[in-house]
Amino acid sequence: MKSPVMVRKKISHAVIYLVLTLVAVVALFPALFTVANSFFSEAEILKSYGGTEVQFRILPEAATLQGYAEVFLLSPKYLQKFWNSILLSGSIVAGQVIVSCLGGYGFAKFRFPLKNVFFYLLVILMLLPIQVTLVSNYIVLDAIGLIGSYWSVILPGVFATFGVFLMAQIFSGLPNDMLEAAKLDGANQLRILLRVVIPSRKMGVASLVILSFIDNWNMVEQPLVFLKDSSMHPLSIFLSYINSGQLGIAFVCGVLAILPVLLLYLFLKDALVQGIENSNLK
Amino acid sequence: MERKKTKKWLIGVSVGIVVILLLCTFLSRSIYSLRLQTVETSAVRTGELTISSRTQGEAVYLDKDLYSFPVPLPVLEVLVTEGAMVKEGALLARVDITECTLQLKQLNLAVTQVRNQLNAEGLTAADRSALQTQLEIAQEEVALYQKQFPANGEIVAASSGVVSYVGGSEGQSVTAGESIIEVIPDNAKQYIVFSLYGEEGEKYPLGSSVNISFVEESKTVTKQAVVNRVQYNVEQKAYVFYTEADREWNLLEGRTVDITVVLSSDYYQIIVPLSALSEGADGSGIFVAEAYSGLFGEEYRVKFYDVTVLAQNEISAAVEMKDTFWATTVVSYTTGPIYDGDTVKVTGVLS
Repeated sequence: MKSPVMVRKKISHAVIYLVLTLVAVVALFPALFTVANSFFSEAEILKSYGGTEVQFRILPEAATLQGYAEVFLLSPKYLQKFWNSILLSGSIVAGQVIVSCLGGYGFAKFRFPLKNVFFYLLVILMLLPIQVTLVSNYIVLDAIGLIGSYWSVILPGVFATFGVFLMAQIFSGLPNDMLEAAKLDGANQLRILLRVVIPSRKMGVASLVILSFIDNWNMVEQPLVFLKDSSMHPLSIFLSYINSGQLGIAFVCGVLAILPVLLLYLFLKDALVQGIENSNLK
Repeated sequence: MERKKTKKWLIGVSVGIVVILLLCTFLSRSIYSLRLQTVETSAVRTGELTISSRTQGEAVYLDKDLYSFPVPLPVLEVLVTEGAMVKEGALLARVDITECTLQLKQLNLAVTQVRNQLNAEGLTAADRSALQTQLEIAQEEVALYQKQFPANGEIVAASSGVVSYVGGSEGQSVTAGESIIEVIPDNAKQYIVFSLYGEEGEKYPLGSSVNISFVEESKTVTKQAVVNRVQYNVEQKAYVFYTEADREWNLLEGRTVDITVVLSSDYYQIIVPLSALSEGADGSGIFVAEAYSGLFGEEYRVKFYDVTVLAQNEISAAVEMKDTFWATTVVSYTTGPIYDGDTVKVTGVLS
C-alpha cells in the first residue's frame, strides 16, 4: 500500500512534468514549425498561408526537398549570406575573446587609478541598447573611412563591453595564490594569463564564445546601417527581405540559420552552465 | 567516456556539415552560371526620350502696380484709359477725399487735445506717462490714416508703364480694396500660368521646356520658354506652373495660349524579357538591367525598381525611375521568371 506522502510526491512530480512539457512545447514550437514547413512545397505553403485563413500545419501532404534544392544548389545567394554571417560572427567572437580576456584579467587582478570608475562606466555602457550608440559609431567609422567594409561591423563588436565584464567576473574567482606561484616561477603577466588563468577558466571563455556568437549571429542593426552593399549583408538581414512569395525558401533559410547556433550550443552547453556558475553572476 | 564519444560525434557532424555547405556553395555557383538566361540584345546605348503634356495657359503680370485704397473713395476724374502708356509721376485719376480729410482733422484734434493735457501743470509721473502713451497712439493713428488715401486726392503713377485696368468711372465710388487703376510697369515680368493635375503635374520639374503657341496675325506662332516656378494648389490638387514670357510677344494680360510642356532625358536602352515587363504593366514596378562587374566577369544585373510607366507602345515603354528616364525594349521571347538581384547574361557591348 502506497503511503499518502508517496502518492502526493508522484502527483506533484506529474504536475511539474506536465507544466515543464507544456513550456518546452511552446518554446520549441517555432523551431519545429520552421523545420517542418521547410519540407513543404511552394504550392502547399501558398495553400496554407497565402489565403485569407491561415492553417498551421506541421505535417506536409507531400514532403519535398524543393526548398532545400533552391537554397543549397540552385541559387548561391543564400549560402553567400550564410558565409557572410559566419565571417562576421566568427571574427567578432575571436576578437572579443582576446580583448575580453585581456580586459577582464586587468579588471580582476590589477589595481590601477580610477579602476572602479572605469568598471562602472563599463557596466553603464553594457546596459545601453545598441541603438543609442549606433549614430556615434557611424560618425566615428565614417570619419576613419570604414563604412561599407566588414571592419565597420567587426571592430565595434570586438570591443563590446559585455565580454570584458563577464571575464572580469570569471577571473575574479581565481585564487591569487596560483598567480603568485606562477610569478615565483618567473612567468610574466602575459604568460600567466595564457598558461594559468585561461586554462583554469576555459569553461568561462567557452561561455563567452557561445553567448557572443548567439548575440552576433542575430545582429541586424549594425550590418543594415554600416554595410551599404546588400551582397555583404548577413543571413539575419536577408531573412527579413524574403517576401511572402518565397515563404518556402524563408523556412529553409531559417533552418540554415538555426544550424550553427545549435551545433555550437550542443558542443559547449556544459561549458555555458559551468561558466555562468563560476562567474558568480547568480 | 560517454561524454568524449558524444563530443567526437558532434565534432564529426559539425565538420561534415561545414564540408557539405562548402561543397554546396561551389556547386550552386556552377549550377547557377549554367542556368543564367541569355538574352539577345542590340548594343545597349544611350539616347533621348521625350514626354509631353498639353494644356492651356494664361498670360498674367504678377508685379503690377495696383492703385487701391482701404477706404471707399468716390472717383472725381479718370485721366487714362486701358492700354494707355503712362510715365512715372503722371496723374492717373482724382478722387474725393473730403470725408477722409474730415476724419483726419478729427484725429489731429484728438492729438492736440492729448498734447494740451500733457502740457498742463500738476501732473503726476504716472499721469504723464499714461498721457504720453496716449499721444503716441493718437499720432500713429494719424500716420496710418494718412496712408489710406492719396494726398490731395491725386493718384499718381509710381512707375512708367501701361494702364491695364480702370476700375472706377467718374461719379462712382470704388469699394475698399478694389483697384481703381492697374498699371503694368515697363520692367514688369509677364508670366504664362498653367496647371496640370495630379500625377501628370508631378512629372515636370523646374526647367522643363514649355512650347507656347498662339495666333498672331492669322498665323500660329510657337515660342519656347522654361518652367520658372512650380506651386502646388492643395484645394485643386493641381501643380501650377509659371513660365516667364517675353513682352515682345505682345500678349495682352488674360490672353489664353496653348501650352505643350516637354521634358527630355537620357535613357539607356536595355533588354528586359516580356515576362518582366508584363508584371509591372500597372506601373508598380519593372525590372531594369544595369552593368555590374560580378564574380563571373562583366554581367548585367537585373534589379527591381519602383517606377512609373509613362508611355508604352507595342514594343517599348518609357519609364521614370526617380529623376531618370529609362526606356526598355521588350523582346518578343521570354525565359523564366526574374527576381530582384538575379543576374542575366547579355550579349552585347555597353557603348
